[in-house]
Amino acid sequence: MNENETQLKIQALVDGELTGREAEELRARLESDGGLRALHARLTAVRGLMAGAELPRTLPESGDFHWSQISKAIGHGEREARRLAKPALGANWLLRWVMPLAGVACLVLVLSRQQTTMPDLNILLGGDHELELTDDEIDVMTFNTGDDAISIVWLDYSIDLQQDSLQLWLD
Amino acid sequence: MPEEPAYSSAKEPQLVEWAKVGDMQAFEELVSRYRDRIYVRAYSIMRNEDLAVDLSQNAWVKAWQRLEQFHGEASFPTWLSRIVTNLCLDELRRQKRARMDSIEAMEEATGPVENRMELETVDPIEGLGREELRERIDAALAKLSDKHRTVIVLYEFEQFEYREIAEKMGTSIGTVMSRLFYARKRMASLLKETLKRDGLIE
Amino acid sequence: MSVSRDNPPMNRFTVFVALLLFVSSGYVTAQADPITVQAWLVLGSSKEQKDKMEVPADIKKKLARVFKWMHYYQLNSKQLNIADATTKTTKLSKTASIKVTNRKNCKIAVSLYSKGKMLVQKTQTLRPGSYMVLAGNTGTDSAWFIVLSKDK
Repeated sequence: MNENETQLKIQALVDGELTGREAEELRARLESDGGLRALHARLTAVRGLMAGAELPRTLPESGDFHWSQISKAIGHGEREARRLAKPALGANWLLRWVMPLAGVACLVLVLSRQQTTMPDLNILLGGDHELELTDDEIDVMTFNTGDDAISIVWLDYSIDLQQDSLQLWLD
Repeated sequence: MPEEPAYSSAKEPQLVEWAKVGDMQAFEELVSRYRDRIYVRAYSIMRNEDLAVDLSQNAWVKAWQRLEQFHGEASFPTWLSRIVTNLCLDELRRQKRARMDSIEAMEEATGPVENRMELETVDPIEGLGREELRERIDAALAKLSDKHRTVIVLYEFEQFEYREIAEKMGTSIGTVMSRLFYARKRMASLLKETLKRDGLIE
Repeated sequence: MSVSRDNPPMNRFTVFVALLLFVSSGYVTAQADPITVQAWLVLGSSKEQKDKMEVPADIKKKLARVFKWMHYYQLNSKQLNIADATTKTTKLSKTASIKVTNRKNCKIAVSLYSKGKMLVQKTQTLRPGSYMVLAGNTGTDSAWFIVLSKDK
């Protein structure tokens, strides 16, 4: 083992990264080698010096501003994710079948006098959940419990809860 | 009257659980509690205020996106610290600071000659408060190259093992050991210089 | 060797016409059954409000599993009987209403309107015993929920 390797092994011993037989052999060497013992002591001292020595600092911007940047970025990320979740168009040969099939579907609806129109659902979640948002400024989060007992759409929007007293009377 | 006692007095695991189901206010409380800590970690590695702020913000956004992956194996700030550390390492990889790195790489790689350089003894100094020592250590860290500062921050402050540092830095354990050894020597030498210069030691 | 006029190859047009006939012949039979949807407007709050009625226990249990509020009060509740492929609208508050559409395959589409503007539309299969929830903060330490369930 050359000198450099030995020094690195001493460091590993100090750092607790050398174990087992190798560690035992090195400890035995330390007992008879003053130079290596001194190196071990210095490395231990430097480690002691560095422990917990990270200088505390304060974020150089206000907490409110910091949070506003984070929440904006989160909102933007979620909107991007929804946009990218749109199914991509397939190859040209697939389009040749998909477009006519869509036409067939429309004809079927007309033939069966479908009264409601299919909404342009532009967000497809996992499973059979679909979500459409009409306002990009409203942030939204979705959550389903694993057993689908409850599916939640959380909007960054406050609705007016005040009851219409006349309506309540009529109800 | 609006009140937020639920958030400010809530324990961290509860805040995390609330945040996981989309409670932004709970997440905001977590940001408020740990933003300085995450910033410190980013600054320790990057040594640039603006970058450290940007990377901290990115780390929080990533944490929000990955909350479902947090299962409490480590504490939340530790988990977040790892995220910001990874972002810093990615940023360092993108940046080229070849000049300083290549000089130090040469110094590190010149084998036996360089490695015979003594590791300075830095004894505890009476009257040198912990705060002042931290400032001197911080000043010395700033003088290291990115590679050497990173390895010492990851080992001493983030408390990664050699193997983990090697993975994060995309290098071998042997290289991590060499860099750490060199970084410690440099730190000791720099600290001794400043202490001598300030007349605190002979 | 050229293709005989008497035996033209199957082309896309032929396929689609056949598909159209096939699908439309089956369509009239594959219709949604009429459904009954219950909708609750709920206030989630940390503060006890004795003048308000708590939501049914099952709803409270489901909401409390996910959300942090201590109390869940029923501000309004409606029952909608919706025939297949039709939509019913109901007001839940002065300015908030929902439109519920009975779709095929046990799916319902719920649109939330506030002050005449549609905010969101959610479509999903809603099995008996499951709930669809639209929710948000009210600005104070409380939240609003619109909880929907479908009877068998």
